[in-house]
Amino acid sequence: MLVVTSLDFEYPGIRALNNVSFTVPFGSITAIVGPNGAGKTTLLRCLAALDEPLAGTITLDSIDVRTHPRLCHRNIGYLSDSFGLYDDLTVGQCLRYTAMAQDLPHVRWSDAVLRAANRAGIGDRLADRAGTLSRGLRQRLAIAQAIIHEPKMLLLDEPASGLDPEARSALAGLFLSLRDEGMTLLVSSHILAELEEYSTDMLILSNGELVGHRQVRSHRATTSLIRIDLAGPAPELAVVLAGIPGVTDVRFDGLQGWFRLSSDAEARRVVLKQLVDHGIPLCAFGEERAEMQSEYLSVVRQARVPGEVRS
Amino acid sequence: MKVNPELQRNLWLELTPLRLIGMPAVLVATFILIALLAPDSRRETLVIFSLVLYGALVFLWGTRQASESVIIEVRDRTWDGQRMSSIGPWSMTWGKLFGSAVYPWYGGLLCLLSYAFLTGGDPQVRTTAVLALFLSCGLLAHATALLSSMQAMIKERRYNRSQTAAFLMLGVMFIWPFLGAGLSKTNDLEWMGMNFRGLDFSLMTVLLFLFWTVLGIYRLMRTELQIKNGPLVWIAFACFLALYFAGFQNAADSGHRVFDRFVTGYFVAVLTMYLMAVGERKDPVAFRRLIAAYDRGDRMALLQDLPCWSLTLVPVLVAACGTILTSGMGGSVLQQSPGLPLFIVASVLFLARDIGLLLFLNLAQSQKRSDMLFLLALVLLYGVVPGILSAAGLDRTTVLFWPRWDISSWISLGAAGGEAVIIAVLVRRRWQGRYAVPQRPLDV
Repeated sequence: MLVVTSLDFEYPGIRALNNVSFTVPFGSITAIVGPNGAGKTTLLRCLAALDEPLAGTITLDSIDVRTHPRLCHRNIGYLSDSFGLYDDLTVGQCLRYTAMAQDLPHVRWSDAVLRAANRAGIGDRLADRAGTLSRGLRQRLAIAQAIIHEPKMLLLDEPASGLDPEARSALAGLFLSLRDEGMTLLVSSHILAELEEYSTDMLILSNGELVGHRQVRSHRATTSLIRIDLAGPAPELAVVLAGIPGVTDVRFDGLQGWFRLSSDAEARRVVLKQLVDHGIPLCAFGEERAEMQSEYLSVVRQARVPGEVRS
Repeated sequence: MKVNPELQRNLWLELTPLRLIGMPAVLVATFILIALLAPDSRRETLVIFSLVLYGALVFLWGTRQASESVIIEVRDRTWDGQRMSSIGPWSMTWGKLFGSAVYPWYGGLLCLLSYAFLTGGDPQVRTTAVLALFLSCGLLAHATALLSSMQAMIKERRYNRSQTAAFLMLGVMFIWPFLGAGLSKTNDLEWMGMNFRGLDFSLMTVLLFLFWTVLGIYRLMRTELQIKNGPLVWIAFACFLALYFAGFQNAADSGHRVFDRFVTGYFVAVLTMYLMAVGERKDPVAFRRLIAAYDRGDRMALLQDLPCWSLTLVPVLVAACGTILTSGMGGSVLQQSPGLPLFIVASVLFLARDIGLLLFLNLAQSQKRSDMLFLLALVLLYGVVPGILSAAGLDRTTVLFWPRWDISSWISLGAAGGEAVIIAVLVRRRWQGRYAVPQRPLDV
């Protein structure tokens, strides 16, 4: 389990992370989202023990990352948003070098190279020079390097930036398979639609503070997020929704509202009927496909309102 | 056997079969050309050119390679990957030091083999000692360039081609006096009362500096790998520097000798403090970390986070006290000056003023070129302004700018103390205004 407590990080004169605390259970895929400059990359670099925070603690599997950074590096893989590769080495040499650098036993090098290359889908490219690979393949090689030592925790900063839709989809599949094999992933990205595909949890950063920490996927199997659009104000809507059995997690943003409901069609029919019967001026009612996006926007807007209570 | 990954990676890149054949082919062709051009003094010319080619390959090319070994990783964004690996600081140190220049070393060793072959039976030439000097000078040049490039990289993470040239020059300039003294046949010298042959002393000095330089790289590697360093090694190095240069003071009178050594040690320590103050990063966040460690009484964290320039105050003060205490022991003019103790105290206060000025400039909104501005200020404070005042017949007023042992030292002491206090107040104000309470970032 990754536990972050009261983490502060500063650049000269600027507090980039302020009192950030959260816990990430093993076996999850946690999306770190937030506006530009919110502190996502800084947070990942602190977790990877690449930058030293001003205060706070980070423990991975009970090991303090700040006091034992080298020990933690054995259990962490990190892919930077601006990663580099040794362009003059072949893919095989890049991976072999990383296996050596990660102190894997000599007898495991060949197996580790093959396994990482195959997992990343570049098993047939071992003899190619890294400098000749396409953007997507370079990304895969960088991921293969990050996972060659089978880390418990994989930190990925904007892993899909610059990739075409097909490559992004393949990347999502790779992340899910890594999770299924027992790895825990923390992924920072701006592309919320892509995060929807594989994230189980979402951390929302704004202004260097953690303003939201939600479970995403656990709900999805049994419930749906329903979005309603109103033609005009409906002050009684909150009371009406509160009185309908099975409706949870109600929130509003202007003339839009969201709530969670059982996924079956009959439940939706009952709620729709109740709303219409109460004279709510509905102009749209349906399942919210972009759950994370809607939740993210709502939380970030709330966070920017002074004095607003954050959940 | 455990393979050093950094060395292995460099071997893959540098020692390709074609390059392995190419180097001896080019060297053999060059030697044949030289032999044909100097038929009368073939052996002597080849001996000289063996060393010249070694110098070109190892001192120039190899030093350039070593100076770029880490900053190129930063430029190509592979450095974070290395920092995240399990390579330890010592493996990283020697992997970079030998790996980055492995190809120039390959050619250089062939040149030294040729030198050994040509001079092997000559009783006039101390072949082994010369070989050892050239090998250790090559390593020292590489280590100096790597150390300075890492120090610059830690200060500011950017790649600059002109910086690389500066590191190359620094590495070569550092070994030049040792090579000169080592190869001179007449240059015997006295150090700490002992007589040495030039070659032996150069070799000993190069090996000692090589030890400290490699230790310095190791400590910077530790810093990059987020491992804390203790303060003792730096203090020991500053003391070593002071003692090394003090060792050249060998006056016949023992009281005079001890005093001269303390004075030399004092000025070397002060110079070291200035150099480190300019060379190190003045990071306000690191200062905040120091203050936090002090507030919570964490002495270990405080000592680990103290910048090296501040630790140099230990040998500075020790040497200053030694100078004052031995001032009555000999008969030199300076030693007999009644104002000497006040002069030393005033010089420490001027040092405090200058360090305060450096911090003040570095705590500005933009820290770009702060150090350059500081060096310019030093030129004004210690050169131009006192020069103008002296030329204008106001020589006594120069005590406001630098310590003078020949003019009333109380005035000098008062001026230095006053200026140090004013600068301290300014630094405190700037700190309170800009960094004591950091701003929150603005989301875009």
